[in-house]
Amino acid sequence: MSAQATIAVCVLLTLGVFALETYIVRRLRRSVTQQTGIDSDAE
Amino acid sequence: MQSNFFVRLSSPPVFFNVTGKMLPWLVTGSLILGAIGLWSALFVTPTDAQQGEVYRVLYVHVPTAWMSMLLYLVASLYAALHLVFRTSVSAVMMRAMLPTGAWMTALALVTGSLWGKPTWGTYWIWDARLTFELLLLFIYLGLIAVASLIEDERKTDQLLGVFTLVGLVNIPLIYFSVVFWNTLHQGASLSMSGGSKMAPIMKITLFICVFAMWSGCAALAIARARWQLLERERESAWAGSVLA
Repeated sequence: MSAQATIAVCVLLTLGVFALETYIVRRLRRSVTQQTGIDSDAE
Repeated sequence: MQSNFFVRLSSPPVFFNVTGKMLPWLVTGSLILGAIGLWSALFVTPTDAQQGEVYRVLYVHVPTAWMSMLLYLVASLYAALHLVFRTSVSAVMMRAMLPTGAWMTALALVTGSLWGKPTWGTYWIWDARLTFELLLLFIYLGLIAVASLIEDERKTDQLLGVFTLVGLVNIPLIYFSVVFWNTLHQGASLSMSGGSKMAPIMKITLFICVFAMWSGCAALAIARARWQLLERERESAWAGSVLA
């Protein structure tokens, strides 16, 4: 694998992890606000 | 007055409101610093004389490795606080650090491995630092399993606190492994006591990447803690009225 490809894979992996974590936290927020009856868009 | 602030912060509604105000700043800081850091790492910093272009992986690898240890230290701090004070805030903060910490550890291992192949000639070696970092990933995964397998969260908190503090012994082993043992992994390029072996532009870029990663991790962990806290406290009056 070339140096550029290695760098690109590392950067994309990192961005992907942050995107996935954000999705997981947003899903938790949606699940909690639905349980508690709070409108999640109100914040 | 400062200690009074921290005492008030242990109150769930105060924690929820204060962290709600912090989150947009952390997210914005992470995005801005991340964009600057990435631009500088890819286009501004010069090519390394020995490693060539592939050294740029370190602008991702070093911050993730530092965050893997820092998040564990913060989880341990909240574990100790929870064992003493038994507050809901300390419990959710301890739990919230674990998934982000596990992701950072996995990223540090994968990016380090991708950097190791062209630099060391191998993806993996049972070097002291690499092995203790892998152990950290297993500790994180074990703690996440303990946190999610047992139904009663409040009963699990104490157990999780003890286990987290036991695992803390691994952090100095990771950090000082390059000092204690003769490892393939190089020693610290940045030192608090002495000078730096890095060029100033490389050091500045690395610190920008570290702060971007720190604010991103803090935002994720705090956001997770807020919603876990709300879930826990859903029977209380403040939870129902907090966003009304």
